[in-house]
Amino acid sequence: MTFKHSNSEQQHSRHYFNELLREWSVHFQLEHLSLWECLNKQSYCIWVVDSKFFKKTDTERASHFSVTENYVVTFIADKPEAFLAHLRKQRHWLPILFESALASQQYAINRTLWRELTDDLVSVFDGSFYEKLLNILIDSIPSADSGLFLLYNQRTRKLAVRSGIGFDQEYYQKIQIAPTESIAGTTFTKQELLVFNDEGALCKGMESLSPDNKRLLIQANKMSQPPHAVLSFPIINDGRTLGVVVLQGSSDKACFPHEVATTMYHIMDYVSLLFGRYQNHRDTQKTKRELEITYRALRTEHKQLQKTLDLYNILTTLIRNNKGIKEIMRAMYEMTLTPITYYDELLLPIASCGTNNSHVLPENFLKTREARYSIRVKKWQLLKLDHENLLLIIPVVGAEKVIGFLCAWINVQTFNDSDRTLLEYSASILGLESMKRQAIDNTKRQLFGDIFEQIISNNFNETMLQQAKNLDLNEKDFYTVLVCEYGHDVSSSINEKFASEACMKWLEQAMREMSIKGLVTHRRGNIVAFLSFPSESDKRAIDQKLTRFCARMNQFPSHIKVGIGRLELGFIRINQSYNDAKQCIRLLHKKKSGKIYRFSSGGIDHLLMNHDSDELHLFVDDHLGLLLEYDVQKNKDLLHTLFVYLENNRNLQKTTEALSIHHNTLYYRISQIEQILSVKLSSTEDWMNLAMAWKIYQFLHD
Amino acid sequence: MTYSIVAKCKETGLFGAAVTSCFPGIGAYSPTIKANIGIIASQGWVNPALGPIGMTYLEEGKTANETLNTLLMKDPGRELRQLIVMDHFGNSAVYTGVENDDAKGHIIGDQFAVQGNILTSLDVLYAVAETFENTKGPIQERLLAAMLAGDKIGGDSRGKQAAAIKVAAEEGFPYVDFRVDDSPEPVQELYSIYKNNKHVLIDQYYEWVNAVKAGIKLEDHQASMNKERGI
Repeated sequence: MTFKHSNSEQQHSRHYFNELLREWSVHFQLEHLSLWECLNKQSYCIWVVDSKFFKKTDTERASHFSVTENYVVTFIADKPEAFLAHLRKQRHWLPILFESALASQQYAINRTLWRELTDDLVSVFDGSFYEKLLNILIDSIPSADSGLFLLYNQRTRKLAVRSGIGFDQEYYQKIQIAPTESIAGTTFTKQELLVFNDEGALCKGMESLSPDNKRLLIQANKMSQPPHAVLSFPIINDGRTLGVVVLQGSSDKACFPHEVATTMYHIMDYVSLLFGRYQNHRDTQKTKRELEITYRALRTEHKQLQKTLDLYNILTTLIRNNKGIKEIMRAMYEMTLTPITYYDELLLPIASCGTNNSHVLPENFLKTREARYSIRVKKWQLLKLDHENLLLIIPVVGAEKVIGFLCAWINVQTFNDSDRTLLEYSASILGLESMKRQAIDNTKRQLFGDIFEQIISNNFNETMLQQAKNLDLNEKDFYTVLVCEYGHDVSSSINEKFASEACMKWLEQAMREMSIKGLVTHRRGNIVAFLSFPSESDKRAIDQKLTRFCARMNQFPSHIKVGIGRLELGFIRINQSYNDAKQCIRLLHKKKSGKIYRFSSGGIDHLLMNHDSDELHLFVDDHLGLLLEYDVQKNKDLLHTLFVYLENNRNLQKTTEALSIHHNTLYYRISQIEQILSVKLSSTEDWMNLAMAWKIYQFLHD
Repeated sequence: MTYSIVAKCKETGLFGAAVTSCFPGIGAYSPTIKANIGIIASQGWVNPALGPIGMTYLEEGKTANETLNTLLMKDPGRELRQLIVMDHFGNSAVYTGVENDDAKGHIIGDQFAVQGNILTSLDVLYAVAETFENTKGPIQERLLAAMLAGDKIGGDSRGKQAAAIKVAAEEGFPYVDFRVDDSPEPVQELYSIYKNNKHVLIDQYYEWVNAVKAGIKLEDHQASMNKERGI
């Protein structure tokens, strides 16, 4: 006969009879006293007063007293007769004592289970739930020493062991039980609590277990012998079986009596509830994680969408209010925080934002594979600058051709790849805006050209004056005309039209930079520009501004000749300035050097230009003819000595240095020149005539 | 060159894709699918490297749009390609490069997307999309029905050569993964392969996965099942 130790909780919940039994133990000097119930030919302990010294082998010297068919009192005493006699006397109320003991034990089990399930398991939300539940059940239920928690897998339609106490995981994890298979399967299908205390019934219950599962179950079992009693109950939620808990008793006399079954019957709903709660918590956690991912994704998408919409709205407003390319660029920069520059097709920067000196295009940019590909497919490309920085090249497309490039200097670590779409969209807007501006400029140029032709032909009328006013050409302002001849070698790959366009754009940009109002157009292969200044301006200030403008023009990166006419007051005098400018160009051609010629700073040249050539030749001949003849006849170079002397304004030292001669030699040559030409170089009049003749000689021979 | 469809099953959450092309062994290059993560399908001048790279972005939690934009930034040949990215949520972002030959285009639907180039007409894409939407059943069968509909209309104007279908369920355990590498009628052959072989593993996919994980043979498992059923 064996018994299972009652746990501490049971010991603490003793009833009054416990004291009585203790009194008996003391009074009759009992070594051991326990109450047993016999069920299905097996006995199990209901109550024990002191099991400390009671061993299995002691049962042989224990005395037994049958109270009824089902109840037995077991005790060990030196004088058992006295106690047996006492029990006989008490026989009529002993069954009540047993019922009380049973009720007390039932209460203890219930109390333990409810307390541990409620206190311990209710807060378990990790993977230890299953193991903890099994441990609580095994600790609380007499006879139970091992157990399995099986969960139903809807995909495989099988019960798989989720956790096991007293079983080896290596084997039990391979067990897959069908809903019709064995005790667990039957419990699952019938949704009923099943108890097997009888070996025959147990064998029958296990009969349907598949050979594989049977083998695995035997291999998994860590207990010394197969189970003698099995209790299994379903985990049900909302009418659906989610799993099965199987408890086993492996001791010889293991038994799950009716009272335990009743307790488990009441407990199993609570266990199901706890399991449902555990599952809900896990599902909630999973849902929470999913929601976090969804939130992040939504946030990212929303942020980008909002940025796109914001930029769209800003750009729409800017275009509607005709704010121009600079404002569009600023909006793009503020939205992407990426340094950007908009270049025209000649790579002249139109506008920049967020850039510094380091943000320049690489050399031979247009020859790079990326730039060429970008022009060909009219799509963005990335050009690697160094290991961390890239140049995003977005072609700005006009009417079926690339009219510029929006370039962004991006850092691979910090750039938001989605911002590329914003820049790409903005480049389309830039294209439209540029085309609009180009159309306006072309119309202006055309109109300006027409007006200019009318001015040249002195054809002034009201309509023309009104059109001029519309073009911001005020009738009473100061005007000067600039004529520009451009070379055709701006770039070997660029044709004449391209060169002319480049030159015009450069000129317009220079005028914008210097805040000079004006219009640029074509006329007979040249570029012609009106530069206008308000009528109230100081002429000296205008002159200074034009000087600075000339300096800027000198920076033009190719061969041009620029003639700038005189400053004229009034729109109708533009013609004169235009003629001056043309004369300047002729002078530049004659001089074969220099880039820019301002009429106002041209000195005597423009007087000579208008003089009769024969007369000029005669003047030179009159004043220098004899010297020229002498030089030819004697193979001398006195004319050169004279010119150096004139250029150095009669300074002897400078002249001798320039000619690398001794001053006596110079005195001698001057004396010879005076003699040949019959002049005195000390005479102002002779000096003036020779200086003039020298100037004309230069003018004629340049 | 190709038309393809990617989709996420609204009921099971499985990701699947099918592709056909006049390019041998197209299934080896595209698509890339990962269960619970998403799909990357590249075609045109296929860049197979985009699949694994894109998948790492999707695993980081990037959306389809973010992933597509990042992949495009990293792909110098983007204009030669078509690229679908489908994220965890079944949302798609698609890019059709300008250098793909006509007829080319793409359609983004609810939890699916279709793309194609060198098509006889864009009607192929509409047929694929409509058929997928209107077909019931497991995702792989809806994908195959959609591919057959596209094939019927004309598919690739250069001809046909290869086809593939992939559906991912459990990581590491291919669910549906059939390929036709070279055939005059690749889509129809793909359908036949699926129909004739789905009973082998697809119909008891999860039993197979469990058997593999548990270290037991599926045959034993199957035998015990048959025994239970009295077969």
